[in-house]
This record gives sequence, structure tokens and C-alpha cells, in this order.
Amino acid sequence: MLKGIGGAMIFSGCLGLGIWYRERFAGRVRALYRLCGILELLASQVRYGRDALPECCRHAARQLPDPFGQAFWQVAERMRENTGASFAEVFRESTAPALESLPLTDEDREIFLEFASETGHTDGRMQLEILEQSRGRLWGTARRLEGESGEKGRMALGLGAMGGLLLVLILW
Amino acid sequence: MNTIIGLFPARQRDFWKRTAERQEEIQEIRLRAGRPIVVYMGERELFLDRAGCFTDSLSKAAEITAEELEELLGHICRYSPYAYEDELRQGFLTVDGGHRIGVAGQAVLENGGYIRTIKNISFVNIRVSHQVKGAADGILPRMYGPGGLKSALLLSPPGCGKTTLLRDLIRQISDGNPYGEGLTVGVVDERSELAGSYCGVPQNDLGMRTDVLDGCPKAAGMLLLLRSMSPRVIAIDELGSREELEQLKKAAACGCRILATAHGECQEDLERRFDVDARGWRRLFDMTVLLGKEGGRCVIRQFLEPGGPASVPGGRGERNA
Repeated sequence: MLKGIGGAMIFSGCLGLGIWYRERFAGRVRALYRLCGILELLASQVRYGRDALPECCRHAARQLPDPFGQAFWQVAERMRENTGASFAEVFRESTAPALESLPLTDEDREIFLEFASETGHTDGRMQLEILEQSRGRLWGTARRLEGESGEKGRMALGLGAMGGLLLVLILW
Repeated sequence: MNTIIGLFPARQRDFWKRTAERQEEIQEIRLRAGRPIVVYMGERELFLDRAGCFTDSLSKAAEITAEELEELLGHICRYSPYAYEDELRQGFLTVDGGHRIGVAGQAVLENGGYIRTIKNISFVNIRVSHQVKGAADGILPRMYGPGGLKSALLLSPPGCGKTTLLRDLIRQISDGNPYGEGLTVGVVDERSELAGSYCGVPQNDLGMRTDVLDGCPKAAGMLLLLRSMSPRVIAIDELGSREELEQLKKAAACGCRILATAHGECQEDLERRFDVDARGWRRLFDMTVLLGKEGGRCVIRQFLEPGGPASVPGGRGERNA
């Protein structure tokens, strides 16, 4: 009886791990699309409002749900306080907790943060181009992962279940 | 309030701390890539040494590098120079505190030959804004007559305090003063010098009944203000074209009082420049105030009123910012 319960627990644990991996794949894709949406929002502010980047963040903060809404508000406020810190520093620090909460890789985060370091263009189209480039790269990664995530998800789930079964058989 | 320190990024603030402490005395800070930093205080030209202290000695003068200048400009433009494209094209931008940042570098021209933007900015002139409250005290009693406020033209060569005087006149006329109650004033501030607006918000006190149209060409702006804000007084800085003069006439015909400044040594200069005879000119303005400089100080030289004798005032103008 106890053996049976133990075996079931091991199996469900491994299956749970597989489900967690599958969700992580899907979660990364969702997170990447979310970042694309944020960059698109900022690009719209630059394109149509010609607002400075801190103002773009203030406007975006009103439209974004937390934790990004809060993070963008913080960027705008800190830039208004004018402590002398650059936009790149403030943006990186303020958005770090929000980015950490998402299942992203370090590379994804760096792509997202890239535009904040590449400021200083007197032509608005150049600044837009920078935003579009970051967005395009994230979008490309998201599309690729989306294609793979179904297959990878099934594989993670299968491996979890099979691994669990194998472990149960070995320990039986 | 010390606001110029905010123009500098964190890395440079230690160096500029001592300069910022003497903001009230500073007229201009001239920055040229690879050249000594020059600070103008009153009639004096000073340099900054490597510790950021004032010095008269050119050999001790610190230079600003192209990278530092670029970083400074980025910070002034809030890391978004594209948002200041129009201002940069005109060669200056107004920042928090009403200070004006003049820039020069390499002009990028469009097909028509007009300037699209300025790149490789290597020369920056920080003109520190000073509002001299009370600068107009000397002329205020002369501004009112039996018919109420008079239309006035402030006339002088550059650097004699016209804008400072006009700014304080607007404030006192708008808020009300011992000689007249407060009036609605419409200001067309084409070059952001009067109000020193930053993001549309005046940084200088122009009074509680003043509406400011910032960055708009004067001729178009006067018409717009007349239609939208129904001002009792219209004020413009640096009357410079026939078109602006025509719009001023329209505003006067609508019953507005006019306050304006213009460059010139005397009224005849203006009559020649605008091809308007003395009678036409005097129909528009009830009074012309001639300003000048004496011993480095800005002073009011003469009040000219049609039908009245020219008079020398008891009051004095103030130094321009």
C-alpha cells in the first residue's frame, strides 16, 4: 500500500516537473510578446507624440498593468527628480524587478533594455528604428519559440511522465 | 533657487557645484569642445580650473571634452534629443528653470537649403535665466494715464534690458499694481525668452492673469491669442517684421493695449526699418521708452509720448539676464 502511494507521488512529482517545464516554454513566449507590446507602446509615443523617453514611460505607465505599470511610473518619477543618473541606468534599475518576475533569459532582457542605452539621436526616426529593432528581435524569438513550444511542451510532459514511471519501476 | 546644477549629469556635478552656487551672479557659461570653459559674471570673464573653482588664469583653465559635452547635451535633452528637434534646428532650447541653451555644430541641410537639424554639437552656451522682480517699478507710474494702461514700445540696442523690463511689466500689469487693477495679458513668446517655458509651463513669473503662447511665430500667435484668449493686453518681444506690425495694428484696433520691444537706437530707426511714418507709429503706441547702458548698467534714457515733451526718468532699468 505504502509502496503504491510512494510510487504515485514520485510519478506525479515528475509529471508536475514536466508540466512546469511546458508552462515555462509557453510563459516565455507570452512574456516576449508582452515585451514586444511594451516596446510598441513606447514607439507609438515617440512616433505620434514626439515625447521625450521619460514622458513616454509616464504615458505607458498609465496603460500597462503592474508590475510594468509601476516600473515605468518609477522611471518617469526618477527622471523628473533629476538626480543626474542617465535614462539607461534609471530604466535598467526600475524595470529589473518586473523583468525578473518573468520567465525570460538574460539575453531577452538585454535585448529589451538595449534601446535605453542607445539614445542621443536628434532624428526621431533613428530613435524609432532602435525601438523597432529591439521589438523585431524579441518578436522573432517569440515566433520561433511559439513554433517550437508545442513540440517542446509535449516532449517535456512526456519526459516527465516517462521519467517518473522509470523511477517508480527502478525503486519498486 | 539653484537650478543650473540640474543641467549636468551626475558624473559632472562635483565639478560644477561651485559654479552652481553662484548662479545668481552668472550670465553665461560658454562650453566649446576641447577649449577652456568660460563663465561670464557681470562684466567679468572667468575660467574654471580643474577643481571647478573660478580663476582668471587661462593657463589653469580646465577644458571640456567632446564626450563630456555630448553627455551634457544628452542629459539636458533628457536623453531624447529627437524630442527637441525643432528647438535644435533653431539653435537653442529652453530648459527647466527658464535657462536657454544655445547650440552650434554641423548643420544638416535639406534639399530646400533650410536647416534640418544640427549634428556634432561642439559649442554650447548656457544663458542663465534671471527674473528681476521690480525691474519695471521705475516706469510703471508712467504706464498709466487717464485712459488706463498705455501701449508702450521698449526700444534699445541689444543687451540693455528690454526683455527683463518687459517681463516685469507683464507680471505687474497682470497681477495688478498700485496704479491699475490686474489685466488679462496674452504673451506670444516665440523664442521662449519672456516666460522661459519648459514643456509649456512658464518658468518665470508672468503674473496670474497671463496666458502664454510658447514657440509660436509672433504674427500668427497674436491672431490666435486674440481669437482664443481675448486678452486686454498683448505683449511680444522683439518686433521684427512688417507682418508682426500689421498684426499689432489689428490687435490695437480690437481695443488691446500693446507692449512690445524692438532693437534700435531711436524711434527714427524703427520708422526707417518698418517704413512707417511717425504719425502711424504713434497711433499704435502711446509711449516709447528708450533704454540704454551707462557705466555697465541698464538704464531708462527717455520716455517719448506723442504731444508731450521727451522726459528723462527718475527710475532706472535693471541689468538684463
